[in-house]
Amino acid sequence: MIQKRIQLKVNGEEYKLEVKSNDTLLDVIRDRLSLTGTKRGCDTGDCGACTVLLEGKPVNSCLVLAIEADGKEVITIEGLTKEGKLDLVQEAFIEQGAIQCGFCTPGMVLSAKALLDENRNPTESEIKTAIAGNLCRCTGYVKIVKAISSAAEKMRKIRKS
Amino acid sequence: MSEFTVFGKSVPRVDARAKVSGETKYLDDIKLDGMLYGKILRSPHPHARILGIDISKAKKLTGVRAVITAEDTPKIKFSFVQDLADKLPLCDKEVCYVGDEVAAVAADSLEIAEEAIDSIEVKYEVLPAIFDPKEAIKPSSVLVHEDNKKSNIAFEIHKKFGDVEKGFKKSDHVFEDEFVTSKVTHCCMETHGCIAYFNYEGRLTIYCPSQAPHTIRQEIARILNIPRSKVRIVSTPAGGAFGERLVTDMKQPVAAILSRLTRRPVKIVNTREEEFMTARTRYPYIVSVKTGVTKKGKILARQAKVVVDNGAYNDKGISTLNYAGECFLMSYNIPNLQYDGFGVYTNKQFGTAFRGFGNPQVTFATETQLDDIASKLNMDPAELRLKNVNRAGDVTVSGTEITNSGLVDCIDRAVEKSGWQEKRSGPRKVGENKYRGIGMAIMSHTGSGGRFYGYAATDTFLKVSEEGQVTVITPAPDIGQGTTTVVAQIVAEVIGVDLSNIIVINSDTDIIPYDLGAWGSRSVFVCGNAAKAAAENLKKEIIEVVSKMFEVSPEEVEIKNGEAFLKENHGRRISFGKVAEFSVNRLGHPLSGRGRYFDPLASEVTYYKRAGKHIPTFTYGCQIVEVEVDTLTGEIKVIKITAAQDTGKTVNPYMAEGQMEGAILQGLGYALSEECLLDKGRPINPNFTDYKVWTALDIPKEEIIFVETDDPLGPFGAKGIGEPGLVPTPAAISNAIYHATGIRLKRLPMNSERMFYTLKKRDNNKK
Amino acid sequence: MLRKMKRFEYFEPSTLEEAFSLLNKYNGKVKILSGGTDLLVAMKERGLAPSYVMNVKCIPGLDYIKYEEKKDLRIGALTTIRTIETSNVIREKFSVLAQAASMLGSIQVRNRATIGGNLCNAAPSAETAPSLIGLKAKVKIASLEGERIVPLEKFFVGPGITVLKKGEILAEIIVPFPLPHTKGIYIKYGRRKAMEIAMVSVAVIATLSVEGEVWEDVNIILGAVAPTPLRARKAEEVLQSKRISEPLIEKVGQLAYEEACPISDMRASADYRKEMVKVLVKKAIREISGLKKS
Repeated sequence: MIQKRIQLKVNGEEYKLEVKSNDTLLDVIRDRLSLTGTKRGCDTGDCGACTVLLEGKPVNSCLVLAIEADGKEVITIEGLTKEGKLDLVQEAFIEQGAIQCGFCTPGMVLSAKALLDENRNPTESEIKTAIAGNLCRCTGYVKIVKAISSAAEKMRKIRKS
Repeated sequence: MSEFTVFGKSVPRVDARAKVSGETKYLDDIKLDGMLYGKILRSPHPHARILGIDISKAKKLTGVRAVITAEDTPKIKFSFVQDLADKLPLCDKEVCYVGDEVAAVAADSLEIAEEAIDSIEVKYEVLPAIFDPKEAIKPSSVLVHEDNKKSNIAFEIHKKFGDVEKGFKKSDHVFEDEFVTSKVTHCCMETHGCIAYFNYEGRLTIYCPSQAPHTIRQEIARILNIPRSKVRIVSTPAGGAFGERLVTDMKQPVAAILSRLTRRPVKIVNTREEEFMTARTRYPYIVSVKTGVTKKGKILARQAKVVVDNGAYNDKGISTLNYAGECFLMSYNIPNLQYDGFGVYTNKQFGTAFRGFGNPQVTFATETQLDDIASKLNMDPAELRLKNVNRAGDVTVSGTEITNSGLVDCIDRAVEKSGWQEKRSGPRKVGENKYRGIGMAIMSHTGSGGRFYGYAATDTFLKVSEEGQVTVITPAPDIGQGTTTVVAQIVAEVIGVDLSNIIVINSDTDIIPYDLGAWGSRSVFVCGNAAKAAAENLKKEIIEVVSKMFEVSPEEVEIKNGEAFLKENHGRRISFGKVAEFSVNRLGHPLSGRGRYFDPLASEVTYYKRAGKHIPTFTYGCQIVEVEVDTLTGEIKVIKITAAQDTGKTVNPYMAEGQMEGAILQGLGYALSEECLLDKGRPINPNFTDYKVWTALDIPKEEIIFVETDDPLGPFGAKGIGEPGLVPTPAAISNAIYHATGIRLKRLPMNSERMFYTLKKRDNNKK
Repeated sequence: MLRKMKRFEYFEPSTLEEAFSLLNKYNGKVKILSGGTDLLVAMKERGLAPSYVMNVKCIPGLDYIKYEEKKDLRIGALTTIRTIETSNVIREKFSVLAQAASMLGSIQVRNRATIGGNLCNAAPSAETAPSLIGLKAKVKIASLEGERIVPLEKFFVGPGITVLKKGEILAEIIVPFPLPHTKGIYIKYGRRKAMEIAMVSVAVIATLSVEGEVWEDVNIILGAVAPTPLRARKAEEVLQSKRISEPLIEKVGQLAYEEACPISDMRASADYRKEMVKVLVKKAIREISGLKKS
């Protein structure tokens, strides 16, 4: 088929949409659902600005066909803020000064979130590996790595208490 | 500790929450009602004559609302410096680089626009093209612009102070070297784009990420031949800028013309490939430096000849060449200096402003050569520099008084923190075919913009709402570097309100005061000073009102934490909201403040003619880099960078560190891995796979040191440091490589392949 | 020019049989989607415009890692690179494959890319190919006619071209259980530590004698230096049944250098690639033998 009706669960909400075969998940998230926090940085999977969590895993949404995502669950940056409260990773990015222009930030945060969901005690090298697919041109990554490491520490503390 | 409560603190950015939650709307996130999607047809040839354009098929496609060529434009040539104007929004008779704009469409969707572009047929007569500036400068060269230029030399800059020939004669040693820098580009994570809307009253609004909205406003007016008052620029949050968003990009007038025809908003956004193809790059320089020194290491004369690979059109070529010349005159106390530069057209994508503005190119040359001089004189490179640097109070041969300088401290602190002495004398060989070395470079750069195009005063307006909230209307564009936060911090510091009670408006030329924009590390200095003056006026006004309310003299009133109180009786206090209410209802004037920054030397501007008083204050830095070279592969690994930077006074340590860390990473890429590669003028790596921006896994250890010199002219002593972080990096790396291996690389990027063959050549020569 | 993909007809077969019949029906005009990290890029960036795209990811039973001690490792063609990278059994018993998997693109890419896709895309720099060839992997190719097994070494024909015939699908990768005392290493050489396409890659997998001194079975595979992943046979031969020594290592490096036949492109010159082959092959052999150059 050239068009298909698909069902997506995005940030906990169900959507039924008619999509074209050549629409990417990124196109649909941005243009149809108006969730513009997911950025188009290169459209070829090289920069990570369009990172979303698909079934809990970070992927470049520019390299996923919308049709392929039928029936799947997607988390975008907008889905991390719960009832107005930011996720710990987001808070850490603010506190540690890890944001400049902010364009890579949503993808970066989601890559970090995926890492910390699996690994609460990542090494510096594991943190860097987790975000190696997210290019940033402003920060030099130093403060981003610190932010992720500080978020991990906070998560561990919360776990303990 | 500090007398400050907000200034000088690592407070979170005021725009951080919106950015981290994905709420911030960048240009491509905006959709206007009825908006069309524009697309530009670009030249596939580096040089060709346009014989004919057939747009009939494109016009017939359903969903195509307008198709335009040069015939639909006013055909007014443009350049940032209008005397050098050479660029049409859409080419008329000739295309001069691969990517040159030929035609454009506006359609209901991007997909239709792309299809329409495909269906436009252009007949070209391919012309000979020239790519090497050294060839292009020759009188016999093929011309890049066939129509109206007599030679490929686009512009020249000459600066001469003292007499270099005499200086060389007096010198014990004279060194001459040539350095070549590469074509690199900004790689903003957000590609460039705009939305243009001509309404029925003939007023044009352009939404775009912009570093200089007022400049763009006048440029657009010029290109479209309409009054400036008919143009409104709304800057959207920039996903990176670094100089890319300073000068009008042809998408803006093209979108405007499409909108005028369709009476609908038109959006044009670069794909990443277009961004790379048409990237206005950092200008590649060929720099020949000649330096004369005494046996004891005193520099007596220095001369630089610069050939700028201008690309196909004029943009910031002359300005960067001129500015790099200013910096060339600044760092060292040299009695004889000469600087001659030529901008040369080639059939390639053209350059523009890019962080450092010519200074990184020339600094790479001069600071690498100085290291060579140190080694020939058998002197410590730090010592040689300290022997020659300008110090506060010195007057350069070009007539600039060094009002304030942290350069000596920067060198001392970087030397100390990097373990320089120990590592300079320590073992170089650290493993099987692995050699370590440590090198340094210094730089001077404006910390305050410059008076290069005259307009040197700006305003800031403040208003207080009925709840005591303060709105700041400032012209300081926030391009990610954090000026919104800086301005808010300065205002908050003066009038004692919490940052959360400050709103900053800085995006709309219909509202914000006139200003030249965010470039030349000027926002903290210029807009910071204006904001501080405005806040001080507002503070005075609040105090006056309170003194009337409490019937005391103004001297008895103090303000802090959003409240006013009596110095002698803290119990008598009142909130700003109440003060505002009283002022409005009883005294008949709302609380507001206005402040200005006026540069009193503006009248002495001598544009491009001489150096001296173009820059209110300079900032200085020193970087020391440790590298490890694998002589089997040529791989160059940066182990650690120690960067000491003169900040005047650090407004926000985290943000300032962020500026340095980000700039250093760009400097590392510039030095080692990044390059726009062209094959006969055709970009061959227009993507992030093959244009090597570093990833998080590639970064070295970094130590950032701030040297505070308390600049007498800066707001609370601060100066700008947006650019400097990458200026000395390539030279410091080159010098570290020399220390490690004895090999002097004089061409960027210093990638592993280049290193490998240089090593091989040396080893063959040894045999 | 980078642009939105052209529209295509999309199929999502739920069985292999259905996939085979679609392949037969639309022969030549259908592209198989098994991750998309290469295919979609080619469609956006390089003007590839297939009339039909068949997503095989929904075919159940092709995403698995099955390991049988002393026998073999079987990887379903639709297993993602990330799954391979993080699989304990592959990390422990076939570390040279896990190593290669961990170096492909970024985590985002590895979460989508599949091993079948990586092999069928048949790039000269295909990340997983050198290690798998060195491990003597075979591939199971399925079609309506049945199945055939092809050594991976024989699978590649040229850039983007494999032995897959009309109606065939790569179904499984079979990696034989390595003999005792087998060691392997994969070295990728590029300009960055991530998001990189190899300028040169080298896998060396060798079975050593019990005492670890004699190289009994040697496999040296080079990536990105020929139209397909390349076995450096002459280099392998001189090592075969030999005791390792520095002069021998030098000779192996030289032979590999001679066997490599790369092209010059924006990533590196042909000559530099050959030089790196020499350096990296020697480095790999030294690391396996635990030798440090004196």
